[in-house]
Amino acid sequence: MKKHKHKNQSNKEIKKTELEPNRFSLGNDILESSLKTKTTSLKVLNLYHFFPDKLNLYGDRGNIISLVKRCEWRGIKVNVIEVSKTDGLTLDDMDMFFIGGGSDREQSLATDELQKIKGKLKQKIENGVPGLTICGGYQFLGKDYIDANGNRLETLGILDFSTVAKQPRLIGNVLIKSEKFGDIVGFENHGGRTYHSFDTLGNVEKGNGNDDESHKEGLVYRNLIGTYLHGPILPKNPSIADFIIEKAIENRYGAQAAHDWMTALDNKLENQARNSVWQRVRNG
Amino acid sequence: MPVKVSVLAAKMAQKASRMLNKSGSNIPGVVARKIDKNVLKKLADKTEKIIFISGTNGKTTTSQIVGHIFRESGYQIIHNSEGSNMITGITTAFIDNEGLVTGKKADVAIIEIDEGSIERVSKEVKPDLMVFTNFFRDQLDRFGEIDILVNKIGEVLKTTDAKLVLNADDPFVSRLGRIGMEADYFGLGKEAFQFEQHNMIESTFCPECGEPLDYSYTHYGQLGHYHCSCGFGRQTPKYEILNLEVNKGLTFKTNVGTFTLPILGSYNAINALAAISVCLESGLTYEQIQKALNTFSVENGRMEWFENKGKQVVLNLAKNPAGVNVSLSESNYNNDKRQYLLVLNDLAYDGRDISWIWDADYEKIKNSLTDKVICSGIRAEDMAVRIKYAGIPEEKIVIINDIEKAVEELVSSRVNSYVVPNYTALEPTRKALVKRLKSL
Repeated sequence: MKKHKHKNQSNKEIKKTELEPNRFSLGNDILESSLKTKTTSLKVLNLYHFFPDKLNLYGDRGNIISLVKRCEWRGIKVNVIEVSKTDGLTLDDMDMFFIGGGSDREQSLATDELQKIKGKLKQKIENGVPGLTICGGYQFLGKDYIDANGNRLETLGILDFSTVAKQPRLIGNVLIKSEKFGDIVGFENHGGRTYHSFDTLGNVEKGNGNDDESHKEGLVYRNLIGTYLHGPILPKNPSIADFIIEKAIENRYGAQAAHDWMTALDNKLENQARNSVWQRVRNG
Repeated sequence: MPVKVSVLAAKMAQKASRMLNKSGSNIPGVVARKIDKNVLKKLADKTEKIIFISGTNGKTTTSQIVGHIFRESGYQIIHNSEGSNMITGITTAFIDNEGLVTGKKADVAIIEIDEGSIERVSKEVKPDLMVFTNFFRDQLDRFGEIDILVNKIGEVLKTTDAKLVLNADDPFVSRLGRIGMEADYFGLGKEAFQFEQHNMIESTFCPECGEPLDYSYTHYGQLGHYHCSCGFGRQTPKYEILNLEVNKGLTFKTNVGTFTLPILGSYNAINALAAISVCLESGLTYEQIQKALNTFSVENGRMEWFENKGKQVVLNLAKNPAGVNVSLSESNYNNDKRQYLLVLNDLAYDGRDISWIWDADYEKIKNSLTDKVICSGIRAEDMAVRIKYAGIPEEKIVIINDIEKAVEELVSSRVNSYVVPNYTALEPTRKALVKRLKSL
């Protein structure tokens, strides 16, 4: 039986999965194969996973699994860098990032940490570093969040948009028609209504999305995606996962590498699962 | 209103419902409460001893063990079954105890209670003893976050005089020991058993101050020996397992004697210890308890064991990540070839959101030892994707939505099998197994 490593981790800002296999890692298979990959290729990407210890609701770590596996199947090694503290963090080697949602307390702890690096994060987003932010992670990129009692919470202010919490909570399956990504399925569970004039992921066919009026879901700004969709979103919507991976390769290794490395994968099961949800939800 | 009126009406409703071939475990409660909204309170008030059993996982098994020990020790009991653990089901259990001519039959109520129903039920029924097994994330869209749930339960408990029996190893449960009520603890000693580790991220922050908890030992999930610089920490258990052996049954040495019971599942030792703690706190003796444990058996899909042409088929309900992790771990305590049947539904009782399967460690399924993973149920396709991303090659993954056909496919292969359905998938899966296989 292993002793818990939490105490020594709490003093560390970041840790790399390859260096320190631990309970946050995604299983030995992934580790072993990624270590093998390292010795045979130079295809490496760094994925920053912000606050997996705090922002870990609703199966969203499935997005990390999706990105790691879809790279692995293409012979690309992903270092998952799990960030729990941001002091001294430069983000210099960040090729893509993920921010999920958490409970109120954890969300506010995470936001305090992100405040310290919001300038750098904004710069990365402006430079086209791809990222996926979900639910709370999405909302808190905006300039403010008005809670259910009408109190204004300061958020990161990286993008100019607002979220207002209202009743009822919007819960259920969501179907999206997206020009960029095709059909998208997911599950929403949020009280916040997000209003913005940026590009969106697409039109809501079923469910609510950003708010209960506009029939739009998500936000796309450069290569950043914000969304309310859990499910998690990436496994059943591999075109979004591949978009993030492709942009990450392009930024670091150039357009030719992105083209060469993005070999086609067999998405039979993923498509079958998406279609099955689509049929059920549309008809139900 | 005299309580007999509503009881009579409820019993008639139950008869009618049974004639219509419905199981009817909630209907009498619904009817009685319509006629007399105080019926449960009235019936509970005249019951001498009331024991509540709650928690995310293990409450059914714990409740069944407590019930069995009391019955075997000669008590008549009021006892609800799993699936009837909300207010109407609990009301039904009390109504079942009422003889219309003879009056009540039992003086002890052993009640399994859904953690989300504690608030409502406790307004009408004041427990004398309340045991909590653990708090894991359950079906996500039903309760919100654990923090809120535990706070609520704490507030409600303060309105009762219940003595608490708490799992010392779970920081969330243990926190209930700090609300100013009498509490005793049960737990698992260091090195008592080597559980397979999970990758799942659970509460590892101090529920009192929010700092990371320091663990000197982990059983699995957030269960273990922990403390925090703020002073919060694992309490010394009154009842503690010092050593656990799993071998066609469970044998565990505790500080109050050694217990043996013929059920499977290493984590069931903790449920059994919870049950034993309740019985000892209720004045039963070690001898009474051990004698009853000898004859305890499960017929409810909790680590239920079948035989298929000399190979074992283990059925275990798992409705949340923690449940899946322990279920899959059970398959890894040997190195035999195996296959899996994973059944996933998304009906209201399951929680409509099945995202949680990505919080569970299906990576525990060892590709080299696994012949086949059959995915079934309404969301079989989602399960198949999860299994693919857990590193199992697609050619080993079979999607058969129909549960009956999936079980047919499973039993056609002569290899050890592990069957893990979620909540509403359990009954049809179990029925299909019972129809084809011999129970062990």
